[in-house]
Amino acid sequence: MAPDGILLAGAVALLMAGAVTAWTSANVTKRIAALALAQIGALAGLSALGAPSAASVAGIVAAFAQLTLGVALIVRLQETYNSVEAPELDAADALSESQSQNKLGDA
Amino acid sequence: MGWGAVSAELALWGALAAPIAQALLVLVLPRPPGLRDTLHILFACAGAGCAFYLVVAVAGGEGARMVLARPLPDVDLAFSAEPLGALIAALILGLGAPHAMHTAGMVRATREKAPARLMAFCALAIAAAVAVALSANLFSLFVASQALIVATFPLVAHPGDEDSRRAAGIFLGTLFASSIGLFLPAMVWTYAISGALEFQPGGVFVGGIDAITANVLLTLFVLGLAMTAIPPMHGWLRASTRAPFPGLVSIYALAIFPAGGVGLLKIAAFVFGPALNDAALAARALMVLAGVGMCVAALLALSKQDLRERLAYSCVAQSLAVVIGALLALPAGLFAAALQIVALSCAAATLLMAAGTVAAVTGRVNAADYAGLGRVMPWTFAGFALAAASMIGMPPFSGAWAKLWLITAAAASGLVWAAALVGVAAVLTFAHLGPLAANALAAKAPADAFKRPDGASILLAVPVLVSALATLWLLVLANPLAVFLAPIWTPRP
Amino acid sequence: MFGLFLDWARPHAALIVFAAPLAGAALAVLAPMARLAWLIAAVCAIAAAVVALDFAARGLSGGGGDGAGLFATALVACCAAAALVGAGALLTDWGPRAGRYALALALCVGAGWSGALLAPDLVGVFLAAETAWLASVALVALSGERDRGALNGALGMLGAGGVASALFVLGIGLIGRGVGTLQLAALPAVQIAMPGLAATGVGLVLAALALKAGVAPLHVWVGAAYGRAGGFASLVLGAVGAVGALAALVRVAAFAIPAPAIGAGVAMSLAGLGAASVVVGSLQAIGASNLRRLAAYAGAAQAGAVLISAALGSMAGFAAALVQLFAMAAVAIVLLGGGAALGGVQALHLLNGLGRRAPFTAAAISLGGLSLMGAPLTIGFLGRWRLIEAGVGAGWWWAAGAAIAASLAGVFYCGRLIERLYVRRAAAAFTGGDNPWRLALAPALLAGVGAIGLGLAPDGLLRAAAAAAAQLWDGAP
Repeated sequence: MAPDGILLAGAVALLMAGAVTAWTSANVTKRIAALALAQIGALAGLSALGAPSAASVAGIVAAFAQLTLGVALIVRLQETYNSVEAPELDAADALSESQSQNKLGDA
Repeated sequence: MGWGAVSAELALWGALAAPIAQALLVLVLPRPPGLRDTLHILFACAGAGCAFYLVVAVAGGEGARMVLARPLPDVDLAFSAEPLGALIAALILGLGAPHAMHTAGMVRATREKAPARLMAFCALAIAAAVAVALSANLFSLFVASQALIVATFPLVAHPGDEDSRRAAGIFLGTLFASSIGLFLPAMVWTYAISGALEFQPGGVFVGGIDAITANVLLTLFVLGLAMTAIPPMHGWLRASTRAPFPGLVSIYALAIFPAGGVGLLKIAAFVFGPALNDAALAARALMVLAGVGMCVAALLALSKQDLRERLAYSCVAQSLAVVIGALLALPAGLFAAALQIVALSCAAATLLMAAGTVAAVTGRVNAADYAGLGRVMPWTFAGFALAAASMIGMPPFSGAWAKLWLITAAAASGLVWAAALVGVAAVLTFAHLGPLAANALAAKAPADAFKRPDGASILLAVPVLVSALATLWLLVLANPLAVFLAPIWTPRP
Repeated sequence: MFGLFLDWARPHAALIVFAAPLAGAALAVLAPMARLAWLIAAVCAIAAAVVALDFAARGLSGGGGDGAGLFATALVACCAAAALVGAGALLTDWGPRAGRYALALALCVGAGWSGALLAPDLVGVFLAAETAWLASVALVALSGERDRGALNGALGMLGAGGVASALFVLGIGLIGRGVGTLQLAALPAVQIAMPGLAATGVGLVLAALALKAGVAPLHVWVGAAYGRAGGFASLVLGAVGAVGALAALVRVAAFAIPAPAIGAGVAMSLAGLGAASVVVGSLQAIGASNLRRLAAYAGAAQAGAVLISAALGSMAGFAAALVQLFAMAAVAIVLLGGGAALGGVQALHLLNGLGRRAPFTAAAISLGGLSLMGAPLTIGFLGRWRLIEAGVGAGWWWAAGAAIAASLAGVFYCGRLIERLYVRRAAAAFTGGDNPWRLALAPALLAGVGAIGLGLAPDGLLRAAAAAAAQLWDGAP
C-alpha cells in the first residue's frame, strides 16, 4: 500500500476514533479533546489526498475555532453545573425541566 | 354578458356567501336572542332564494362561474353553476331554511349554553357543502371538502366534555386521513395524466386510460370520499353521533352525506365519464362493498335504541345507495343517485328534526320510549312517519322514485344482485323505522310525556312538516328533473 | 434613494449580502446600548435581504447562473431579517451585554449561510458553513444565562457539528482527489477520474450539511438545543440555520446529481436519508411535548421531503425542493416566532385555550400548523403537491407516499396543537407579559403568515423556483 494510502487510512481511523469518543465519552473535556483529534485526522486525510493548501488552512481555522468555543463551554459548564460529566449535566437538566413545567402548571 | 348571466353569477355568489354571512352575523350579534335567531333564519332564507334562482337560471340555459384564486398553473379555485351542482345546492339551502328555524327553536327549548357557536357552525357546514356541490373542478372539490370537515367537527365537539372531544378527534382524523391519504394522491395523479382538473361532461380522460390506472384511481377517489361512509372509511360515523340534534341535521342531512354524494357523482360523470367502463373491476368491487354495507348498516340500525345512532346508520344505508347508483356507469344510474341524494336529505332532515323536537320537549331519545308519543305530538310524528316512509322507499314519497330508478338501472346493466341488495336494504330499513313510526302513532299515549309545560313550539313543529312535505315533491318533479339533469351525462359536441 | 442604494449595491451584490451582516455584527457589539445594537442589526439584515432579493430577481430572470444559490440566498437573507427585526421583542431575555452579542451572532449565522450559498467552491462553502454553525452554537450557549440547560444543548451542537465538519473536510479532500477540482459548477460536466472517491466525498459533504440542517436521524443535537435555547436562539436556529444548511445541501446536491458518474448514487443516498427523515421526524413530532421541539422535529420531516424532491434529479424535482424550502422557512418563522412571543410558556399542555388569551399569536401558530398539514391554499400544500407531481412523473410512487405520510402525521400533531389552542380550556393564567416591545415580533409573524398565504397566488414563487431549477439544468451535461 502506497504511503499516501497508509496515511489516509490512519487519518480516517483517527477521525473515526475521535468522532466515536466525542459522542460517547462521559467527560466533556474528553469530548472536546476527541473532537480536536477528529479534526487532526481530517486534516491528515486532506494532506494524504493532496488537497490544496487553502482547504488545509480552512480546516485548521475551523478546528481552532471549535477548540476555542469548546474550552469556553467547558469553563461555563463547570461554573454553572459544578461538573463536566455528561450524565450529571443531563440529570440536572431533566430535573430542572420537570420542575419548571410543574411551576408553570401551578401558576 | 347579458343581464341574465350577470344575475346568475350574483345568485352563485349569494348561494355561497349567504351561509357564511349567516355564520358571521350570528357570532358577532349573539344577543339579543331574538335578533340572532331572526338573522339566522333570514339569511338561511336568502341563501335558499339565491339557490332556487340559480336553478331557474341554469334551467334557462344560463351559466355562471367565479374564480377565487389560482393556486396552481391551470388549476383554479373556482365554482360554477351546472345542473347537478345547482340542484344539490338548492336542496341543501332549501332545507337549510327550515333547519335554521328548527335550530332557533331547539336552542331555546334546550337552553343551549353556546347557541351562537352551534348556529354558526351549522351555517358554515352548509356553506362548505354548497361549495362542494358548486365546485368547478377537482381541486375546488377537495378544498371545499376539507373546509366541510373543519366546519363540521366543532359540531361533534360541541357538548364540550372529554368524550365529545375524543369523538371529534376520531371524526376529524378519519375524514382527513382518507381525504389526504387517498383523495389527494388520486387528484394529483389525475392532473399528471390529463393535465386538467376541470369538471366536464364526458370526463377529463380524453382518449381513455389504461384499465389498471382507471381501477386504482376509482378506488382512491371513492374511498377518499369517506363522506359517503363507504366501508371501511365509515369510522367517523359513530363518533359523529355525539353532536347535538341541530348538528346532526347539518352533518347527515345537509352537509356530509349530500356533499359526499354529489362529490362522487361529479367524479363519476365529469372526471371519469365513459372511462368508468375501464374501471369495471373496481366499480364492481366497490358496489359489493357498498351493497353489503347498506344491508349491514340497516341491520345495525335495528339494533340501536338511541335514535341518534339508529338514524345515523339508516342514513348510511341510504348514502351507500348513492354510491351504487354513481358506479353503475349509466345515465340512469347517475340520475337515480341524484334522486337518492334528494330523497335522503329530505327524509333525514325531517327524521332528525323530529327526533330533536321529541328530545327537547320530552327528554326521550330511545326508540322504546317513543310509544304513543304521536298521539300527544301529532304534527311532529306525522312528519316523522312521512319521512320514514320515504326512507323505506314507499310510494309516493321521494325515496320510492329514487329506489325504483336505482333498481331499474342496476337491472339494466345486468347487475341483478345490486338491485337485490337495494331491495334487501329497503326491507331492513322498514324493519328499523316502520314499527317505530307505527308504534309512536298507534300506541297508547304516555301519561307524563312532556318535560316542558308548553310542548313543542311552532319553531320546532313547522320545520318538521315543511321538510316532510318536501319528501313528496319528487312525485311531480321527477320528469322535469330528468330533463334538467340530462346535460351531465350528455357530452357537449 | 432606494433606487440609488440598489444601483450602488448591484455590482457587489454577492459581497454585500455576505459582508453587510458581518459589518453589522461588529457594529452591534460596539454599540453602547442594546436597543441601538438591535436597530443596527435590523437595518443591516434588511439591507442584505433587499440586495439578495434584487440579486436573485435579476439572476433568475437573466439565466446562466447558480439558480439554487440565488433563490436560497434571498430566502435565508429574508428569514434572517425577519428574525432580527423580531429580536427587538426578545432583548429583555438577556442582560444588556449579552443582548448585543446575541444580535451579532445571529447576524453571523445569516451571513454564514448566505456565504455558503454563494461560494463557488467547496472550501468557501465549508468556511461559511462553519462560521454560521459556530455562531449558532455560541448563540445557544448565550441563552445559558437564563436557562443553564442551553449550555448542554450548545455542547451537543458543538460535538455533533465538530464531527460533521471533520467529515466535511475529509469529503473536500476526497472530492478534490477524485474530481480534480473543488469548483461546484464544474461537477456536472467534468470527467471524474475516480468516481468512487468522488461519490464518497460528496456523500460525506452532504452528510455533514444534513447533520447541521437537523435532518433525521443525524439530528442528535436538536432536542436539547431547541428545547432549552431561548426564543430568539431557537428562532434563528430554525428559520435561518436549518433552512440555510438545508439550502446548502440542496445546492451541492444540485451540482452533484447531474454528474453522470456519481449522480445516481448521490440521488439514492439522498432519497434514503429523506425518507428516513420524514418518518423519524414525523414520529418525534407526534411525541413532542414542547412547542419548539415540535417545530424542530416537524422541520426534520419537512427537510426529508425537500431531500426526496432533490433526489428525484429532475427539473421538476428541484423546483419542488425549492418551493418546500420556502414553505419550511415560513412555518419555522411562525411556529418559532410565535413560541418566542409566548416567552417561557412552551410546554404543549400550557397552550390550552391560547386562542382566547393571545388570539394573534395563536392564529399565526395555527396557520403554521395548517401549512405543515398540507392544508389546501397554504404554501405547504403547494410544496407537497409539487413533490407528488414530480414523484408520480418520475415513477417514484414511494415519494408521493412519503409526502402523504408527512401530511397525515402533520394532521395528527398539528391537529392536536390547534385543538389545544382553540377547543381546550386554559389550565393556567397566561404569563406572556405586557412588554410593548413584544410587538416587534409582529412583522416577522406577519411575514411568515403572508408567506404561508402565498399558497393562494403562488405564481411568482413557482416561476422563481422553476427558473432556478432550469438554470441548474442548463449547466448539466
